[in-house]
Amino acid sequence: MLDKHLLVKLKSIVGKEDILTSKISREVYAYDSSPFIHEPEAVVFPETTAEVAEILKLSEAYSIPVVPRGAGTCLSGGAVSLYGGISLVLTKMDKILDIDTVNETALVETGVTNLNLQKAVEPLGFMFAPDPASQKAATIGGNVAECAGGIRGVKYGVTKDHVLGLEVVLPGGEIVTTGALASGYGFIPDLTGIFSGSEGTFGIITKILVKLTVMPETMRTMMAVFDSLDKAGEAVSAIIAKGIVPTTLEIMDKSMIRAVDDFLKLGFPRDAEAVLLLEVDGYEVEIDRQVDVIEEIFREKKASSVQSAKDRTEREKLWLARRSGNGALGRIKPAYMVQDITVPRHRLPQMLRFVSDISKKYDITIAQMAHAGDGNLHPHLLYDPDDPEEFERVEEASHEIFETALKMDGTLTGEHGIGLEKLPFMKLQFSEKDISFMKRVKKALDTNLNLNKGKVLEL
Amino acid sequence: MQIKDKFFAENPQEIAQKVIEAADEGFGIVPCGKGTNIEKYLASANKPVVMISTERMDSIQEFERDNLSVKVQAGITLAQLQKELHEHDVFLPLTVESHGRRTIGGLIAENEAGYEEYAYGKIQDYVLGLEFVTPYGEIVKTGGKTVKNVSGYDFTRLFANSLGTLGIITSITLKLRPEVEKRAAVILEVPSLKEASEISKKIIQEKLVTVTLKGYKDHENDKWRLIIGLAGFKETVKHHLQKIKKVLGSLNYSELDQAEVNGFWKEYYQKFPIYEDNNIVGMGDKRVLFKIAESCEKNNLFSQVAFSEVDFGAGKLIIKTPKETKETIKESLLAYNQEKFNFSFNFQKPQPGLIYKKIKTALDPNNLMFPNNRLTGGEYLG
Ligand SMILES: Cc1cc2nc3c(=O)[nH]c(=O)nc-3n(C[C@H](O)[C@H](O)[C@H](O)COP(=O)(O)OP(=O)(O)OC[C@H]3O[C@@H](n4cnc5c(N)ncnc54)[C@H](O)[C@@H]3O)c2cc1C
Repeated sequence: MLDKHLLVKLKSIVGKEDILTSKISREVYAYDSSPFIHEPEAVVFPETTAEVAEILKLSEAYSIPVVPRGAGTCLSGGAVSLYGGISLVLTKMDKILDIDTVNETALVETGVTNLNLQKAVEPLGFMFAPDPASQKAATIGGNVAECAGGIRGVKYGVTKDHVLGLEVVLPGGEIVTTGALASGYGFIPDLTGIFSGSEGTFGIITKILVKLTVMPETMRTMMAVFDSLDKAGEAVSAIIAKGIVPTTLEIMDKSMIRAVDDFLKLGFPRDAEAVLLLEVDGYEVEIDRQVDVIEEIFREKKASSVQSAKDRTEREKLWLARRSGNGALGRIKPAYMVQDITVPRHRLPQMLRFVSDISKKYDITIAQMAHAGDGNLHPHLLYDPDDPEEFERVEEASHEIFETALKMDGTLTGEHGIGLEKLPFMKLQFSEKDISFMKRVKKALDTNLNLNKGKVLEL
Repeated sequence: MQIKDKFFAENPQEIAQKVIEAADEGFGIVPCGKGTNIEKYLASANKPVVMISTERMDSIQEFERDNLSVKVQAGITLAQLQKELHEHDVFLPLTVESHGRRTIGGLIAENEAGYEEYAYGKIQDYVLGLEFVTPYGEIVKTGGKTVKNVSGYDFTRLFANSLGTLGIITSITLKLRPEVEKRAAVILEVPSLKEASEISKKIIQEKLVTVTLKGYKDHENDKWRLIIGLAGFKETVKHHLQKIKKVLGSLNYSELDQAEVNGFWKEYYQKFPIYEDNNIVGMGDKRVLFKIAESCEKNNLFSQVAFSEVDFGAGKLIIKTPKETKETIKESLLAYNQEKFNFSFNFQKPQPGLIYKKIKTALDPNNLMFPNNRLTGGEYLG
């Protein structure tokens, strides 16, 4: 598809140093952070919006498939080149263009990493609230395209809650702006929102105007251990009922606790069924009372132990168990599949319990951690890649997990995206009409289906 | 009169049916809540229209306190909903005093915000899920009731400021907030708008629990006033009131408690209703707003109008003017707006942009949805 003639054209757009076609580079860019592997025919690194526009015009004229890509940390196959063509890597568009403390916004190019933005605004007393665990590498454009969440999400929401406007190049090469970057903002439709979680299928995001959040004066970290999932769940509800919105609220189930404890010998009680890790932030004058209320609730709900961190080192200690989850699981089985279902918050204990029952039913190990405050579960289904029969059981268990989450008014994915991975399950969540509406909008923006075709929807 | 029919739907199926029938006849379709504000515009419609009102679809379908979510039909008014939520100590951050009589569906179609916009943003930020009827008469769902959801495309914000031109919203799941512990406000008379803007800039820098930051002036009382609203934990509100006092220095001010704050806004919006045809509204970059406000003051523009509000927190300007002076005021405002890109007015002809055009053409190829409003090329009634 990408013959010499087209490569020459591409080189004339971006310069020869910004295009890779060797076998090895195509192999490198065949991956994202999912198990899906599909090689592009060329890897192109535009440096300006104008270059992106020229590339898309070329793609339109010659029907070249294009897959936008940030850091490639996508967990669902969104950034791999299913149909070959161009892998459009946006990491060279990495300038922070403006930080505006009056409007409390920052204007960034798509390839700025989440962490670099954090570092730039922190000295001014601000933060970019979404803080995915991949923040060192993941780009703001990738965050928007996947609507990334982070551990501060309980209080501050997800990426879409912090995006005010976009500059986007549409598949025909037209450069457009939305939201607060569009002229007439406030009096015209604001279509910024549809790009959230669009997984690079509507257009290429080139600039993003993000909302900044005032950095909280202070923060407290607490950990509580419970001998029942229900008590932990009740504690979560009781905290929210008191009008306290924690910054972070993470939960680990028995299998995860055991795995971590066997690995690190942290001395968790053997009958521990749930560990809650909770943070609150805010102003100095208000924080201690919140901590008191939360500790009181933990005691009322019969937590078997409650610990609070008084400083940074103690905080790191409390976080150690949570952060070591993935490593600890590696000692049990060589591989795992992580799911990302999300249920209404109050259904979380029920869902956690269901998943642990499923692990018995299919005789597999499932270790669970979850962003409890958002109802977002990450069951890790462990398997041995050399045991195809076990993998089959893992897939069947996943399927049942999806179905149950949907029955609880939940969703297939809270933050990892549909990509290629969950494509076969879209029909479980959406009606034919819902899907046909999605297709109509996709085709309205990308009539010739050159942009990341085969992700989100089967087309 | 071009209105063929005003249909009061009881459920989404009826709406879908009505949309299909109207489309068959080639009639325009105008979604509305109460519709009171809309009828006058329809006199000039370029084709006969059917109004579809969701007024009777006004129930709360599901309230889940523990999930901080509520699902409502589109026709419920904000006041009805807030009353119910209030009893459970949660709220939707859109203020009843300013928008109480509007329906939730209508508020989304205009992406409205209350007087606490500075802290809480616009209604689109609270939409978790939607059900709507497309111009083809299909009932479609998007989003859900979880705060995190990236399954399929997210169309929960597709309708933000779409003014009824893309479909008819029938049901909405909203994200709620736990009621704040304490609200308070400081109100003061300032010698000039310039003074109000200087104070506001300082307040913004202080990073307080500010929810409102507005200057306003009415013709009865020829003085600018500044209101600074706070909401948060009681210790914080108390502490931040102290900080504000420091900023104000020797200026006289009064302090309002929670009940007084509510009373203040009730009276405010009775006196200055924000849905008046003659209101000029501008919004955008706050840095530009500060400059425009300064030019207005320098050129005595505010003395020619009945009422003015400068929302330093939300970046908004509202001017209520008698008909006679409206045109000259518009001209002056345009002249003061040096950075045209970042600040816009409601009297400028809207350019909805290419993405909207593409989507609009795909969803509603015959331009049946609200065929004559300001987005769809009808007479512009800014
Ligand atoms: C170790 C690890 C931890 C993670 N932790 C989290 C977490 O805590 N929370 C969370 O939500 N996710 C997490 N993720 C997933 C992933 O990091 C996020 O989805 C992230 O936002 C992806 O950013 P990226 O720059 O790597 O994008 P990529 O992976 O390169 O791309 C992701 C998708 O966005 C599209 N895309 C990228 N840039 C653009 C653009 N400019 N315009 C249009 N489309 C574009 C791509 O086509 C692709 O579909 C994690 C991943 C890993 C590997």
